[in-house]
Amino acid sequence: MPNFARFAGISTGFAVALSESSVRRYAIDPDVRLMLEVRDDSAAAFEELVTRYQGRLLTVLQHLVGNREQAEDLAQDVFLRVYRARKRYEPGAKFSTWLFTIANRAAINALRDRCRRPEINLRPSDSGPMGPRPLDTMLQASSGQMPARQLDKAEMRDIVRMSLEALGERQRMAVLLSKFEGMSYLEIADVMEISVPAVKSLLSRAREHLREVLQPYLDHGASPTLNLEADDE
Amino acid sequence: MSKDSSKRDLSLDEQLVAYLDGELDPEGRRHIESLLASDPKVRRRLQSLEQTWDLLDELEAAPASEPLTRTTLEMVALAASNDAQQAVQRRRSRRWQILAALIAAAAIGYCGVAWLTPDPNYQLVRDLPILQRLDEYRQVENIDFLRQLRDQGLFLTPRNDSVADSPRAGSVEADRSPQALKGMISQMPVADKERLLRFYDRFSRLSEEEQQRLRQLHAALQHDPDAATLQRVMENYYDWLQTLSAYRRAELLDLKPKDRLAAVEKRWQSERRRDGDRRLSDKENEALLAFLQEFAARHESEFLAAQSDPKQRARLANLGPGLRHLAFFREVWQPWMAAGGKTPPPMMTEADWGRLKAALSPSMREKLEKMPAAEQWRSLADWLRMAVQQRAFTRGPRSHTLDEDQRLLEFFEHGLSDDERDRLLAMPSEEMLRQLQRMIWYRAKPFTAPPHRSAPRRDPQESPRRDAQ
Repeated sequence: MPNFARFAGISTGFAVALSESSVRRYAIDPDVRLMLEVRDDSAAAFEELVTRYQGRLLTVLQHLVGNREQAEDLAQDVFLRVYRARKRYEPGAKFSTWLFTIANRAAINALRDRCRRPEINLRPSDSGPMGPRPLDTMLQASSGQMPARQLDKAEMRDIVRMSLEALGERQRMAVLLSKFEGMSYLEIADVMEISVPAVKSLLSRAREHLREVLQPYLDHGASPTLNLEADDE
Repeated sequence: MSKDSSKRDLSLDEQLVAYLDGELDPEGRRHIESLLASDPKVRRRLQSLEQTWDLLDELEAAPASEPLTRTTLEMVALAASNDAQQAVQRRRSRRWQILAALIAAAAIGYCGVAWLTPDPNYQLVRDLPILQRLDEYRQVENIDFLRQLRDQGLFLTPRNDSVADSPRAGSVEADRSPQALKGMISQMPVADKERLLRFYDRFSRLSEEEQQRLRQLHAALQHDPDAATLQRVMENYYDWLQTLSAYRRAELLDLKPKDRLAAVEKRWQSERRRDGDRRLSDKENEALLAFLQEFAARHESEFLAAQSDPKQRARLANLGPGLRHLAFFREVWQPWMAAGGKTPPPMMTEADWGRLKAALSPSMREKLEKMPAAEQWRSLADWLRMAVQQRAFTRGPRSHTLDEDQRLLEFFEHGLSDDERDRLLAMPSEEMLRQLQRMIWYRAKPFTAPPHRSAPRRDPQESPRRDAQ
């Protein structure tokens, strides 16, 4: 391999030769450097990564699975997987992209497991503080069948959360990565292991769905009396 | 809407979304911008997509709590040490196989392999009775220590809950044959097998000397004419240790056996004097906790009606029953308990009081009824506090389990220098626990071979404290 260079500043035990492009990459992303220290068996670096990323990971996972406890278990599982995969880590991408790729796989497995269990509600729209089938309620609202009343911030948050939960898992993941992690289409494609056009399509359909459900609340706040069909044409 | 226009809209939406996300190339961007300039419908569409996207800002971030980060690190540390252990075992196992094959090929022949391959279950089966009482045995130096506790009349009381009626979970009789033990292990539920494996791992990590000490203690206990009493003393002593804070427990276990015996007696007697005979049994504690739950369900509407803020009321009403119960506990019982039960508990009716007393044993009920009213509420507040603490200690999903606690103590006993122990003991108990956990994490070197104590990895956060002293 041409152009070998060793990156200075990593712990003394680190003796892996790295290409210049890799050096540039983790000079830009300090978390790549931390992860390389983890690969080099540094517990302190691992703790630093957990501290830095646990909140971000939890946020995405909680909105993805709709349950704090399961999100915490998943986040812990992800860090365990990171630890176990540390020797195979190659600084080929931003660290967060690698981490969320692992998280995406773990979450997909967890959601599949949940699907196999009949006692757990599969449709996010069947649960939540708004009672059964809140999506129906939301669509009623958007078609003007619900009595008018003021929505407070907490209710608005619930509605936004449920509109997100009503999306398919893949759309939801793409939205969360875009919104909370500010990832580019290319990064989302890497994390979800799909093509860039597929990400484009997922995000477009997701945002259209969110628009359909949320626009009436936005337009009329308390009393959604119009639907937006006219706008579509 | 025709099929074509729907398809066109989808494509337009994709372009608009990509435009908003800054994902269009310059040509695509110019195209969208010209559409926006010429078509008000496209402008409205873009605005609508953007505004509804912005609504997602309402979603809350989910910050990680400090205990979660800590448990994550501990979990990974534990997994790392298990992985290391397994790797060592795999390597050992491979070495044995190679050796056996060589010997077999050279002289003994193929049948020698079977003879040389050790039965991996042999040690597990042999030490099973010890593994199942590992926690108890580890707290006791030798059989004399138990005899002295017995002779001083300490920890003799029969266990007053259902556990007393049956052998401790998973306990085995000494005279069971290895075959019977093997059969018993194979019949265990998976959770019990995993628990056993954890104990086995811990036992294997002990020094050969300590393993031998535990075997001797077990054998001595089995053959003692007063085995049943000594066993009860050991169980009660262990349970009693668990009621102490980690700090007090560490302090006690750090003493030499003779001094510890004196300290245990002094503390035990002073607790007896303080609590008299007003300590509730485990069964009564459970019944009190069940009462709290029923109470919350019975007074739920009253509780909700008492909320002056309608938004808060609606939010509480929307919570699931478990969380609502927790909110009820926090807002109704905790302030009352914190005030020391100086007034009657909020919302308590005569019927509730009757139900609560029914949860107590007849003798305890009688004693309670003889107390003045104010004293009764104070006792109730004390009991509830103790019942909740006990639940948090033994059952809390993310609180310290006994296993973890044991690990902390082992580290405290054997993993620290005298100076370090003194320094920890000088800290408040919470701070000491936190510091101890950090030290375990750094010293465990989960990613490498077991460390040599002479060159411990320094906790960078320790330095200022050390320097300050």
